[in-house]
Amino acid sequence: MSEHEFKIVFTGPMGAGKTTAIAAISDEAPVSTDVINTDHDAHDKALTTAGLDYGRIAIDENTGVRLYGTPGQLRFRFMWEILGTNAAGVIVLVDAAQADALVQLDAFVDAFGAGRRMPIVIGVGRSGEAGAHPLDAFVQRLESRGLTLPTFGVDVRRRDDVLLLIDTLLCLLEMADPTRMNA
Amino acid sequence: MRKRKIAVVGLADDASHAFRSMLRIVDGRGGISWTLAAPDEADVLLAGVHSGEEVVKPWARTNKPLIAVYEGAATRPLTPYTLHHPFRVMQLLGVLDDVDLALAGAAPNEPARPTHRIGDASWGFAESLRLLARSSSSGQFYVAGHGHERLFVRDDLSAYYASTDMAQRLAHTALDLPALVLSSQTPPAQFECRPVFELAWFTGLHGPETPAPWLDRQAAHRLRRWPDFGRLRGTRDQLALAALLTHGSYSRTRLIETSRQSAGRVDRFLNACALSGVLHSSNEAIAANDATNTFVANSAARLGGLIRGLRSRLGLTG
Repeated sequence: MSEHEFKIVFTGPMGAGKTTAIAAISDEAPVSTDVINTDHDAHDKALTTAGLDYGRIAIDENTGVRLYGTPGQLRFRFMWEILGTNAAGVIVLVDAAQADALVQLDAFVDAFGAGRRMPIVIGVGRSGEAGAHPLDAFVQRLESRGLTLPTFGVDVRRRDDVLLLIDTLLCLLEMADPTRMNA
Repeated sequence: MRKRKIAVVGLADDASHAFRSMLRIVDGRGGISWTLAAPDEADVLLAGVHSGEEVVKPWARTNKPLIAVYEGAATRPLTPYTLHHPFRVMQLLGVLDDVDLALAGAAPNEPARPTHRIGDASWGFAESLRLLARSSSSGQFYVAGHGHERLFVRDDLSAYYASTDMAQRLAHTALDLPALVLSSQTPPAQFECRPVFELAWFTGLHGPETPAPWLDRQAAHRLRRWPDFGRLRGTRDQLALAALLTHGSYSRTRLIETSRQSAGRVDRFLNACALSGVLHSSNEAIAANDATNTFVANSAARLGGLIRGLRSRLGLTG
């Protein structure tokens, strides 16, 4: 990775809002590799990401942050590793209204090193909806494994919520070496 | 091997059976022998919500650790030590290790060296909320204040009720409420129902700029879990403090030095975390920044300029 760039990865199951989150902060509409969704058991949406989503935030002429969205389906897991290599951090998005959301949380958190290789921030959508898993269930799940990962109830259609996830990720990076604050 | 005694009250039969079985599994791990005991002989109390009020009430007035058990989709209690049923072995081990550390020190999480008398009026409401979190529930309401300037708290801490105006002010300023008292009334229909976690957080955050009476000034603190900043809208300063307390354990003094934030701001953050039950405090050796995170070394220095640039670009000015 270039000294003038770093990348942030958005991951999570199909329909959790990865493409939406990247679109909320990317300078330009994200480049998506969408295909027709044939897995309607997993999520009832027309298109899904099969390869990756890509967005970018330019900091200055030579410096930028690359934003990658992984495919959500388990069968594309090989892409998670490719995209996660040299990432500065990972944002995991899960949909609390999906029945297997807690199992999905484990899968994505573990795939990216459970917060040990790189910081992980978790955004949980629709946790307040009737029949959805409450936010506490996700926190509890992580806590029972000894993991203290920031886990927030969010709506990634709101830019402020996406910025909260990004800012938390930056704070985790920064506070890993507090001398950097005024460097 | 250290010997610890634990008493159990208020668990349903299946939970009680599961706990006893798991205690046999974890017994002896980490050099600690855990045995069941009667409450008056125990070092720690494991309390469920089903009964046991006669034991829990007097216990709540002591400094001994209490592990609050909650089940299914119930709201997590605000006590420092909680267990969710169905139990998981790793979770049980973690809580018992934390309790053991607390017992090994000078009663952390509790006022080993109080900086204020608990009777201090400025802490009255916060202290009553903290004690309510250590009590068992019987479906009653507690109230603080009068008329429209009052709020109700369910004794199971599943919710509090306040006027819309009062709930909004709570997020931004201290409300100067008296201690909660048991009430025979129920909240007016027009009052909003909101999660108690929010009340606990803002009570600590807008309270006095000194360590709470129950917070040990010498203890090492770390986060047990992050507050839900999606709901609480945490500031950059709060995110930074939470990040530090995730990477390692910090004493109050070291946290002030490292974060470069004012003592008052750090104290209020710690008070909010403690009152919300997300802070783990103990007298274990402070080991800040010895975390196993490999990204610490990998990302040091290189990202400093990029982080500032990205914040500026996204309008994240703190």
